[in-house]
Amino acid sequence: MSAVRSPKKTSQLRSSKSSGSQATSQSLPLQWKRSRKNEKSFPLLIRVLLFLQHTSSILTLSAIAGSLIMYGLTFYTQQMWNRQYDKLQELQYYERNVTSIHEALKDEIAEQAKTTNETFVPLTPDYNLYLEPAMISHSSETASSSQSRKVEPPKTDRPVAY
Amino acid sequence: MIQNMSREFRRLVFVWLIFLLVSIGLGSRIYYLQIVVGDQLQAKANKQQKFALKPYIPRRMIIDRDGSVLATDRVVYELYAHPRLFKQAPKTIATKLAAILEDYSKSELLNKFEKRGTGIPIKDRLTEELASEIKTIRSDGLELIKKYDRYYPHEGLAANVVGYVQKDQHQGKTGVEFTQQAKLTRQAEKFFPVQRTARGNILPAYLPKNTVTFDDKKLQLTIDAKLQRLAHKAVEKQVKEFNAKRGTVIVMDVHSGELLSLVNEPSYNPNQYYEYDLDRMKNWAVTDRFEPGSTFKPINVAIALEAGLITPETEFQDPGKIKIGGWTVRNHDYYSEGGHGKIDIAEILQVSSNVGIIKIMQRMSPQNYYDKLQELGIEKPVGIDLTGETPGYLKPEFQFTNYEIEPATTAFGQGFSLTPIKLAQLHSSLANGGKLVTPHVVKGLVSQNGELVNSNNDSQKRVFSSETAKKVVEMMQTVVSEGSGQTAQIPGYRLGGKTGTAQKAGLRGYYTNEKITSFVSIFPANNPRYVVLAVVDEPKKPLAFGSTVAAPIVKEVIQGLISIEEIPPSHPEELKNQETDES
Repeated sequence: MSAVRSPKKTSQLRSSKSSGSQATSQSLPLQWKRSRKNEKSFPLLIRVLLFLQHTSSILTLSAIAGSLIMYGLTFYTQQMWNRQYDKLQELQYYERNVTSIHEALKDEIAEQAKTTNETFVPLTPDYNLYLEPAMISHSSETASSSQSRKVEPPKTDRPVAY
Repeated sequence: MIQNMSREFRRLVFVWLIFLLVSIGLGSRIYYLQIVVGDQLQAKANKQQKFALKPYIPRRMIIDRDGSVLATDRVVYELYAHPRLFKQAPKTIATKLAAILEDYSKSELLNKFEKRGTGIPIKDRLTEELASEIKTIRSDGLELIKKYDRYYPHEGLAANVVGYVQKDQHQGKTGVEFTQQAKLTRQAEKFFPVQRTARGNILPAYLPKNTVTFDDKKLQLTIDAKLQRLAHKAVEKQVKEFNAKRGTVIVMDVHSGELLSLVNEPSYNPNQYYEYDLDRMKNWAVTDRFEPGSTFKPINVAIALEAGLITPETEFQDPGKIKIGGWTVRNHDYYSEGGHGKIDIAEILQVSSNVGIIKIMQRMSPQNYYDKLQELGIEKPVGIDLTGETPGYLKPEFQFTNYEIEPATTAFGQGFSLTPIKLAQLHSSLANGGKLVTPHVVKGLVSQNGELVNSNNDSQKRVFSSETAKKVVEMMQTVVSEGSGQTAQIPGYRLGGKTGTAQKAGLRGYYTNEKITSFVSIFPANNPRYVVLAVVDEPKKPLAFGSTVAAPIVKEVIQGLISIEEIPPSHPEELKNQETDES
């Protein structure tokens, strides 16, 4: 019996509550409008609470977004790491091969030079090109003096750039 | 009771019962998975998810002074078969494998597979290319184990300096590979326990920091590969021509002690070190002593000059032979030339007069002479960064100071012994103005852009005054311009030199017919930078002397040195004359 009765009770309660809320919602808009125009008329506590509500909802939203991004990134970075690790291994493999082949070729060419001498120039001074240092003599002095005469300061105001 | 209940309530109980049963079911499943078989599953998961990541940490490269790679690490694989784990028929696996491994036939592989259930070694030192081909078979039961293998691209070029690395342990056994072990190995080979996903991807979050980063510093040597090759070619030619036992060439920077070249002939290929005798693998320029003969005379002259017993102008009577303590000592040219008459110090070196140098050293008390030889460190190791260095040997102090013959034989370079590297060090002290520097082959660790990270700080010890050293170098210059070293002349340049042809002592100390020829040169004579020493052991053909066997080697090496180091001529007019002569 009580089971049959109880839903009725709750419905009564609900209707009374909703009617109450309707009453408040009907009477509220004017107050609300007024509060929009002049927020100072609200008590301090309400304003603080309102502020808290606003900021916390923004924080919650951004936290949700952030966690979603982080969740996605954990998968993505793993994949990225593995891809880059593979790449690193591949590069190391190429580096090893390039170094050893390059040096082995150097050796092979040098060994060939031992047997077939005609195509390779031996390292002896006969093949060196010796350049004489420029003479610092009387003639060079005259050359420099004639040059200095030529390089007289130009008659323009423009500064000479070096 | 149940009939008394309303329909809604019965439905509620029914749903509740279903939930209860499901939760009991789930609970018992959890109990089974977590408690009953938990440990087994944990082990299974670990096996699948965790594996040991062995990051790429090879032994450091060894490079020459120009950056040419003398030793580097390769990755090789060992192939094992575990037939028990095969999921394909052994026949198909054998066919696929035989197609990749050329030196195995299908039947040979099948025979191997029948030997054991697991752990059959198939092949080692597989290249990375072959290993990746084998991976494409994608069969369980074929295991590839990654290893490092040392590779010497220039083979025997600097083998006696660089040394070799033993295959199985990957540890250096001789040369720089052994002495610089601590610098060459980055850290103990670590295995990182790593988690991976079902797809085999590594979960990097569990990796320790800096797993994949390693510094790429290289070990740089002072050796110049080009000069090394040239010196090797020169000594090889003479050793063959005179049918000699062995030869060595040392090129040393006299100021820093850096060795630009250190060649041994015969050499060996460190890539196949196991095919050679141990005797070939040592660097005999460092490990073996020899009696230097006349190449030691300039050192004796310096000792006497330093003690103020002679001046370059002092003259001595050289009758060609001299009697000391019952022994007669002759000049090498006594039978052809007789005596040389009155000669000065430079002439004594030019004609390599034994009598002359004995008379010089007789002015010094044996005790003082002995003490000076000790000060020069004849019986001490030079401290080179190579394995197996042997200090020199002098006669015991009592014998040296009490028997007249001992200081006399020492005067012309016999009766005591030292290593070629020690002789080069002593001549360097003449060339650099009187300081003993430590010869070395290791420059230090260099970073990727060639900056030296750490280097050796070598001590220097003054043994002669710079005036003495300068005077001796001037005298040595006349040996090449007018004396026994004329074969080493190079137009446009001046070099100091001294030949040496010594008799070798047999096992019991008696001198035999075997000889050891040498030539030492200080170059350029006007402003010495290098000492070049060539020693050829036991040349067996006639007319084998320091001047004919070793001097041409030194000449060839110095010619190479001129081109490589771009050394300008001190007498350019000679080059011009040469050109006009040719035209």
